[in-house]
Amino acid sequence: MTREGRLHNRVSLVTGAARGIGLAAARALAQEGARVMMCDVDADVLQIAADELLKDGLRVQAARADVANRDSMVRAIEATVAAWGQLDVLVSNAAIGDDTPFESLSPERWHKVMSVNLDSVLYGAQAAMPYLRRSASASIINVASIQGLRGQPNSMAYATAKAAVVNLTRCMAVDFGPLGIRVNAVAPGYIDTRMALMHGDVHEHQTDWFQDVFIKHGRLPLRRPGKADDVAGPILFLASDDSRYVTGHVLVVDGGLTCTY
Amino acid sequence: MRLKDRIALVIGGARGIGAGIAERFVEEGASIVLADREASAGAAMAARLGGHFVSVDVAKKADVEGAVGAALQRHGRLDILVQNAGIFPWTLIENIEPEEWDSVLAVNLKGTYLAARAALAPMKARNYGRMIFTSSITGPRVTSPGHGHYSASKAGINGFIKAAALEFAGYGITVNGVEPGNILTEGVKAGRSAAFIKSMEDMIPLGRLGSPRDVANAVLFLASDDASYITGTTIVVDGGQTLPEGADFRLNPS
Repeated sequence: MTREGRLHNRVSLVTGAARGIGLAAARALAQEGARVMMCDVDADVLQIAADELLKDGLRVQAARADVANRDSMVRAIEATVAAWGQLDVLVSNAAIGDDTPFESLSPERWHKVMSVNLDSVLYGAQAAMPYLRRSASASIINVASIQGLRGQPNSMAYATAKAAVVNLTRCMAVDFGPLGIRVNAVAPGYIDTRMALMHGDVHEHQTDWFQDVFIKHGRLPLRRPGKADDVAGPILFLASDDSRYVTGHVLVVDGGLTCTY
Repeated sequence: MRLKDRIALVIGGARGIGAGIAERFVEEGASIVLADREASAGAAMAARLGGHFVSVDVAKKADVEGAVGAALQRHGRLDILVQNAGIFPWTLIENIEPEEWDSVLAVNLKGTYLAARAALAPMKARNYGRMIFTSSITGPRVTSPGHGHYSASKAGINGFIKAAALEFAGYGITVNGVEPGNILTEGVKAGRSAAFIKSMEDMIPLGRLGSPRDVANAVLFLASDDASYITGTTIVVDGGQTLPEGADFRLNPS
């Protein structure tokens, strides 16, 4: 590769990097020259994913981390800085899906979803802050969801956590702007990842209902669910200097879903 | 080269943000046709960028069709349309006469619809296209006195982006926009003191006004393959200006 990548000399940490959007983002950032610490709670799958990227000549390492645990995130970030001496880009992507109906939404489940999907974004930023302050091109990218912008059936915990991620992004952007740290979010729509698997291992995008309403009748304007790579490009944009005057923005990546009803 | 061999028409490209977009496109390998109402500045910019110039009044259907036609004639196709032409007279609503209202809506909003409509057929024929329109934070998000017609026109562009995205999606065409904040163009610099510019900067979390290149980079992203799954939306390029309730965010001790 003769071309200098858009993230040349940058160091990034991506959570939830064992699969899906996190893995696609880790690959995209590394392909543009970044050194990437891939983190996930699922250490075995993470190592296999990291080995794949290493085999392709990309500069990555893997570190098991539980994003809901602040000490665990501090350790992952310390490991990143120990390996490469700096941290410039934090991608807070790790999350769990949830479609528990209101009647059965227990305090334990509610707190679990808030902890993994929301607390993690705060903890990651706090742990990364000492290093991001020293970076000349610091960028935090939080993976929210269009569910955080709309009301969705059986999504009280998930959608509320994602809505909070949206506004946490805005608040952090205002607080960190004077420090030269940008904070943005992506809000993906229907993306083909493991999170779209429903109970009984049926893939939501393969159901007759989804195919009929969203594809055949065009409720989803681009008429296809997104791929993880479709979200990695926007994350790369927000990580790079191409978005150097963009902060506090929630970039919708949904094939046009939310421009209709 | 993220736009290698792409053909782009940039309307309102003679100076400022539009010129920044055209320049960025050329750097990334695109061939451009530059259109503007200002013939001498537009021709000079096009010549500098190695592109072709067409004189247009974006509010006139025949002119806009002529600009699209020029791109097709020279390059055989049109991949990317940017409609950036806009005017922003400062007038309080109580003083806006219907003629002035109509002229702002004609350039900013009708011009956007005319450009989209003219570019649709050639893009549809090849089942590929990228349309990017310059909206603004003024109208869709915030406003200030004296911008009644401008705000209405820019908020109208955001509505049109969604409608066009929906109608064109089946033809492989995405439609998006950018919402610039305060961009330090020649027009903004003129007649403003350094102290006033500083007061503007203090209201922005990133602590500076934007540059045409900042906006151009967002437009480039929307025109590139990285934005394939994005349609019907806008990217705010304002340094965070529209986030806080007021400029007192700078009191934060961090």
